[in-house]
Amino acid sequence: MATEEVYISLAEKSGHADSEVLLHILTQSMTPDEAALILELPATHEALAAKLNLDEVALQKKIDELMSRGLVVPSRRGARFPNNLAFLHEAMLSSAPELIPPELPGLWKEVYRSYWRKEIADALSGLEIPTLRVVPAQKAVPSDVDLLPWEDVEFIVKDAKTRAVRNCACRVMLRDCEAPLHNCMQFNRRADYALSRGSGREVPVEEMLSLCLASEEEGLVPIVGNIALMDRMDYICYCCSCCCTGLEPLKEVGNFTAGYAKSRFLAEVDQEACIGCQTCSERCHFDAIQMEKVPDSKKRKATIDADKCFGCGACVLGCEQKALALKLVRPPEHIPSINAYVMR
Amino acid sequence: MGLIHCPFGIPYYDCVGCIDCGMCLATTKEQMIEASKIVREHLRSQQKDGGVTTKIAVCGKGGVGKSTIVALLAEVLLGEGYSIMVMDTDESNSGLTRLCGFDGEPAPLMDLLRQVPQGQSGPDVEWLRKDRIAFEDIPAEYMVERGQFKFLMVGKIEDPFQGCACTMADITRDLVGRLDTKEKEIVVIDTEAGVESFGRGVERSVDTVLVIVEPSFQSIDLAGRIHYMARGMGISRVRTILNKVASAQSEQKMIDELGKKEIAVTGTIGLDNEISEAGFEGRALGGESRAKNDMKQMLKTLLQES
Repeated sequence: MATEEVYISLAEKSGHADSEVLLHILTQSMTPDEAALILELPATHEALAAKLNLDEVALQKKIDELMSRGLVVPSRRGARFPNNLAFLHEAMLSSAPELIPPELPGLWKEVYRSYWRKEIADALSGLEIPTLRVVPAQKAVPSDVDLLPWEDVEFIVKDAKTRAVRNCACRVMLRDCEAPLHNCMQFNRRADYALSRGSGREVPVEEMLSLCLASEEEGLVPIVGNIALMDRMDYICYCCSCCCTGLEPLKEVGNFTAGYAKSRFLAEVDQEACIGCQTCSERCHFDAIQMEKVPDSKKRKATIDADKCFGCGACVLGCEQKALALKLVRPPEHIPSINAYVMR
Repeated sequence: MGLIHCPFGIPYYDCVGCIDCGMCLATTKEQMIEASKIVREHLRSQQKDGGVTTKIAVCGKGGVGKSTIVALLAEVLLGEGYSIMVMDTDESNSGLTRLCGFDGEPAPLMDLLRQVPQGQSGPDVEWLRKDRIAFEDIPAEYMVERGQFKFLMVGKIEDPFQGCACTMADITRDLVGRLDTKEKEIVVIDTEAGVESFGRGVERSVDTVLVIVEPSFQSIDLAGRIHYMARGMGISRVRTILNKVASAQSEQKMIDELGKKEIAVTGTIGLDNEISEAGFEGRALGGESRAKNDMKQMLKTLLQES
């Protein structure tokens, strides 16, 4: 097979054989021999070793290395090439930084901007129930509220069997803000995967909670899976709407609710205490805060658009005057139980 | 973020746990609808299999009759040849021992449990450290027993996540989880009223939740919450029984209201003067009673696997 053909075949697997940039990503991230090997997957080691005339031990080592670079991912049938852009992107760019070719993030950014973000926006708009959900920043939760386990960052962290932190693949790609990279929280099966391929490091409860609190202080939005099932709380993302490949495509079309469920909270502002510094408005990733003219004041005051607010608490944490607070506005049933999938 | 379309949150297509629904590969609405069908079928089939009943948490609003139900259930199970361990985690209600026909109370386990994280060792805490704890491992001072009926008092589970890393709730959950039941051995746990205890402790290591509902909207409402929480914490077998039901009309009304929440009722315990009197006088429910018969009727459904 000619050199180009190997890469084109791989690009076909991700559904974008005609993308020059994607081909460039593939040529930059693997040798033709590696590409040829990956094309054969999934396959048993015996079959592969025979076909490519390799030693089985060397083969396993090679596959482990490809796994750590994000070029193959685990599956029930063994290692295989990720078969769509979302998987490929995450596998590649959440890898240990030293394993990522320097041009890669920039090339991925081009893929994202040229066509991928539109695909994401379209796909997310088709969902019946959003698969992602905002949960409130820990320090923004009112003291008299009993959180449900699946909206409680502290509970999720403590309940997990394994914990790992890895880089946020989205922010590694876009870097459109100064937010930290190393704050994508993985639990249980996801943590095991990150640890086994060296993309994440295992952390004790206290350290992970500190990282969570720090990310919340930064104003990042805590995101988990949208289901009332502890078993599925196997990650907490800390997202910004400038870099997150889930939020950013929806930001442009002003339709976050297509892909995301709100938390059970709504931000409220005490306009008398508000000094009009605009910190909250700047921190809000959902464009839910406007500075409006109010009677009896020369200053414009923060005003929350209840429809747009997702109840993440970023504004609450940023307000030095303590003029903002979260209020509980939705019942537990807002978070779909497994029955929601069965009954609809 | 990985597989954002996956209703099961599987990290990658074809990963362990993947059910091949195709949701992650779907690009059109039709494909997504097809995928949803597969998801639903899978979830429905999952719900059928709860495994053998070994550990039952009895839940419900305070005053709904949990203690009475626990005592009745224990009696009936004993009559069917089971060995029972009842665990009382409600410190404020010391009537359960008497309802169960015991004269005294055992020493509360909580003091002993508190010692474990502090690194105390010695024969009296050795049994607590075992991976699997058999009924026989538990020292006599923490139990009162009569034949195949053992009774433990755990003591009040305090607010979790306070103080040491290994919290009271964690320890109790851990203990219940490690209790080894042989065939025809069942643990029945009388838990504190309210759904807060769900996120925090014992219920996680049980395989069955028994929700008690009395004729009040509050009680019915709470039943909905308990189902939601139990499901969320991964307990697949949740059974609901009505208690203190005065008439067939009242029973039907409750069944209808619970039906609106998609909750099926397993059985009904009628309002029984004998029970009220026994409770009032603090004595066991001796011999036969209507309530005991009601419980016997529903036992099979209570315990069955699906």
